[in-house]
Amino acid sequence: MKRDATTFIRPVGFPKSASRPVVTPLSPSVVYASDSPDMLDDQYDGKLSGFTYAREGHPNGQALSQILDRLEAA
Amino acid sequence: MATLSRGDHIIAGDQLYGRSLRLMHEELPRLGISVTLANASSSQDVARAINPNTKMVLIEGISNPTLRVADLNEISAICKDAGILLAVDNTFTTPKAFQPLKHGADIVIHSVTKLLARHSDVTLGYVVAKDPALNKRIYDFAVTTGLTASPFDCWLAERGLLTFDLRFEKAQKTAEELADALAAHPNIARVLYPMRADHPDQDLARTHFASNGCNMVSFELATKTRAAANQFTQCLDGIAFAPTLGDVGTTLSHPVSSSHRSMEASDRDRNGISEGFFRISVGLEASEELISAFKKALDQL
Repeated sequence: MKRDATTFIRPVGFPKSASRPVVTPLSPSVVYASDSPDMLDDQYDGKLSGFTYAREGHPNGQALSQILDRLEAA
Repeated sequence: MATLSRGDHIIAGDQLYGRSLRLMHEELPRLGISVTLANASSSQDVARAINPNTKMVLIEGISNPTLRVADLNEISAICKDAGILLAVDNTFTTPKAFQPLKHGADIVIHSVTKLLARHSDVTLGYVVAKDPALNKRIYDFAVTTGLTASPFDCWLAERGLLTFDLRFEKAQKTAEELADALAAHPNIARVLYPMRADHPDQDLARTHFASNGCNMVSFELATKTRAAANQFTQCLDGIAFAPTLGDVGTTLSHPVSSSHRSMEASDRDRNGISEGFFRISVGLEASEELISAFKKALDQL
């Protein structure tokens, strides 16, 4: 979709950067967009890794549980 | 709840957090799940409570607020023999001192709000199972019932965890010193700290936690009245009287008026939780400052 000066309702996302943040970024997104129904199927079937709906998991939750799992030797 | 069905039986520690007790007394029986409470520091007590339909034993590594240590190795052996799931709330103990999965537990639970996140700005829980299929079952139950954590809370907790090791070491060292200082004061009837020689579960604590301690100290005033309790909290300068634990600052709680207010008075008496009973969550203040604040308040009683 062409972005014109009067349309601000779509977020622009983070600017590109060759370097990376040293702190885990905060990702409050409730939902994640996939390219197609086939791609979404592949995500749910585990052929592709990627978030879908934050209720089912999100990057900050996964980052935190990785640390807690390690602490508890799970 | 992800693993229990109508007709099942669960054994729970008799000193669980107030809301957990409420779940045991009110919600689970309503769903047809029966509950028996048992003293987790006695494996015989737990073994006696086992029925043919017992599916789970749920206990805390260190109980609240009398800081009894669960006999985890024995209880996990009993559960294994009987084919019962063992779930351990590791909030007070923390995985730095004790990893229940390595001692035979099947499920570990945390209030991440407390020592792990430690800045009193996150309300968050964690549960993990050793068995991947059970883990998936718990995950599905959480997604279905909407127990999704907020990304911001997870982000704050992750930031808090960066300094978990340092905070734990500092707080437990201060807790040990404070426990000794309190025990020496004439206006204190008794001090409960699992690493002290006068604690009933000292041997268990040494076996389970090796050289680690915990940041929780409980004590009872010599005068076990509400008037003395009110006077003490009012005299205690700079320490928040707040029903929580695990904050960076030291907090003081009075179980009779907060976490254990819904406990039957007879159960409180049996566990020695009087009006003069207090629980301290030791924070990161300089040890001398903390000890001096407590001494000053005690001197005024």
